[in-house]
Amino acid sequence: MLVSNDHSSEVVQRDESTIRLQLQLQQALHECAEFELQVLNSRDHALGQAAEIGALRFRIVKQAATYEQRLNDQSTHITNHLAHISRLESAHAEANQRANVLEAQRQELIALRSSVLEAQRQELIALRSSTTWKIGRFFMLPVRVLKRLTRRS
Amino acid sequence: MPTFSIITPVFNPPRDAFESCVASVLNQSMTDWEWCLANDASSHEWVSDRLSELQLADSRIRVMNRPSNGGIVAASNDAISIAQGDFLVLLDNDDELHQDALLLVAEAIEKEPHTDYVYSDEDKLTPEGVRFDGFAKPTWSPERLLAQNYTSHLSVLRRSLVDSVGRFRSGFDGSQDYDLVLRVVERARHIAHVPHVLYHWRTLPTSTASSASAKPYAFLAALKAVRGHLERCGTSAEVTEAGPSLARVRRSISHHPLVSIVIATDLRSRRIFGVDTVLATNLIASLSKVTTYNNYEVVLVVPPQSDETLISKMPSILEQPVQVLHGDDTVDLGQYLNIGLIAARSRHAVLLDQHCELIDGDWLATLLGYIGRDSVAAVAPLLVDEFGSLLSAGIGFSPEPHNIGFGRHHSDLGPVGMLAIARECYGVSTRCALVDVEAVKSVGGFSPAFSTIARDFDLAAKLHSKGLHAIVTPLSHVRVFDSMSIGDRELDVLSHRWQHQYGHDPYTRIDTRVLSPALVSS
Repeated sequence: MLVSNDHSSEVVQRDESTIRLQLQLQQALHECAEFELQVLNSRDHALGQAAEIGALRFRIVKQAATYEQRLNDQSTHITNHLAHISRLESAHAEANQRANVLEAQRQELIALRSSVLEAQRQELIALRSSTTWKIGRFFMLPVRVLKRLTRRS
Repeated sequence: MPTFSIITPVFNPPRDAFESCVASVLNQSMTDWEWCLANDASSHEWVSDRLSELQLADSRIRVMNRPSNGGIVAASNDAISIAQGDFLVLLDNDDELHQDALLLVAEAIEKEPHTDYVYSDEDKLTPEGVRFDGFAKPTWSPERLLAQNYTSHLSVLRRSLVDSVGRFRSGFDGSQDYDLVLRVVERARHIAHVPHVLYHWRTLPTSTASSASAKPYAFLAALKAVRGHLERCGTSAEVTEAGPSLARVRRSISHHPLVSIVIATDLRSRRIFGVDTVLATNLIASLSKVTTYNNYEVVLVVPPQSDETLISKMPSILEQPVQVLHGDDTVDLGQYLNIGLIAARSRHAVLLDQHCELIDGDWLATLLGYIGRDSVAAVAPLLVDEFGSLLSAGIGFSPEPHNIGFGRHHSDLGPVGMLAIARECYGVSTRCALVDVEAVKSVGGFSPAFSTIARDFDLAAKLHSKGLHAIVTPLSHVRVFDSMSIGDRELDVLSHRWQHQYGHDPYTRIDTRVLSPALVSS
């Protein structure tokens, strides 16, 4: 009877131990699955980071290309602008030169006009001081007097 | 630099077309070539006179005059018999080469000296010489080659390999080049694709270029060539017609491995055909009802505190074993799929979205027919909505991530027949896909960064970055009760990760905006 009791308690103990081990195994498997899930997520994170670096590099290269293009555009714009300024400056100088020429021509014309006027004035003085003019004026005196009287009346 | 022998069988070509062909060869920017022409007893007198004149004028041109008409196979083989170059360039007597065709092919061969076969993009010429219908071909796609002779023109093959496989074979008239290419690729060490239009194929009323029905005997020969190829490769398969010049290969599977079917569900309901239905129950009912393959287990991942009565009913629907796992409170179905993949006991597992309904009995056997090949990480059927419109025929990344064929009718052949044939693609939707479990785990499974189908694009890109691709097959259809939309925030996250891959999909090089009017629905 004693042996039988011992045997049955041994069986009970063994069963309990089996159940405990099974529970531990289930727990371990569960933990294993959780760890594996964490591994998967870590792998995804690592790959995602690597991909993001790739995408970032791509964006940097693309952005650099955009900036390069913009820089080139700006540089072209500046070059064009400078060329335009240079064209304007040369046009301005040309216009100045043409203005100077015109001014000289104007001065020449003014001088020419003065000399012509002076010559005509001298000619007029000479004309008025001539005998013919004086005789003419003498003969025309009555007419001038009459004219003056007529205006006054 | 490799040397080239251009092979041209000549039989009564239209004179103008032949002169254009001659000019395209003489104007090649690379000058180290020989042109081997075999006059197949042309009845037009000018042909032999013109060929003699060409031979006298240029020492690189060699002409063989056949005493009697023997057909294109005999004439092509005669032209090959006088060839001395390292590579054979196949050119029809009324077509044209791009000016830099040989130069670009030579560059591709120099880049990889073990190259045995080179093909390029092509377009067509109207009888008046106007170019149209350009075909930007995918990178090397062996599955697609079984369904259509997509490499076609320009084809450049190593001469020693062509000799060793026995040159062109009689009995394949009209598809003799397809048959030759299939035999060459079985032994080729490296196959290169030149992504430029190097060949202009003239559409004459009698040529295959004008329509696939112009030479029905050619298509029968093509089916015969594919059957021969599969036999030589030890693949048991049924080859049938899928459409004009399109073949459908249904492989028989010799062994029936265990397949884990992972279903992640939040046990939501929606109205299906007017009835409120728990999506997962509907899916499992369809799985149980239609699936003829019988060695599978179901891994069901549900939220904690789910309705136990509902869950307990599900295994009873199935005769197969069911593992029920509980996810966390966040109800991120991507993470649930990861939990399911970890618990999967098979090498290949099916991912099934709760919105799916299976309609073809042999869907699983069909998908299993494609696995086991290098670099194939996933196989998927066509996804259709309840009205018969396509939701996905694979994932494309050019110009940006999208479901190929979205919005088209499921019977639509698509551009170049691509929706009607099994073919390699950048990735597939995991709404329903057979995946290589280790491959998916090696890239970290589904990312917690995504909660919608953007996770499919992300997974496809991750697998692609590891040199893996997918296959989509029209041999099976799966119905999906969902619009498959993506939010703007997820598109931003996706772009943040993969923008550098946008536009670099080697399998969908054609303008996908033309292909899929509603690209990524949002």
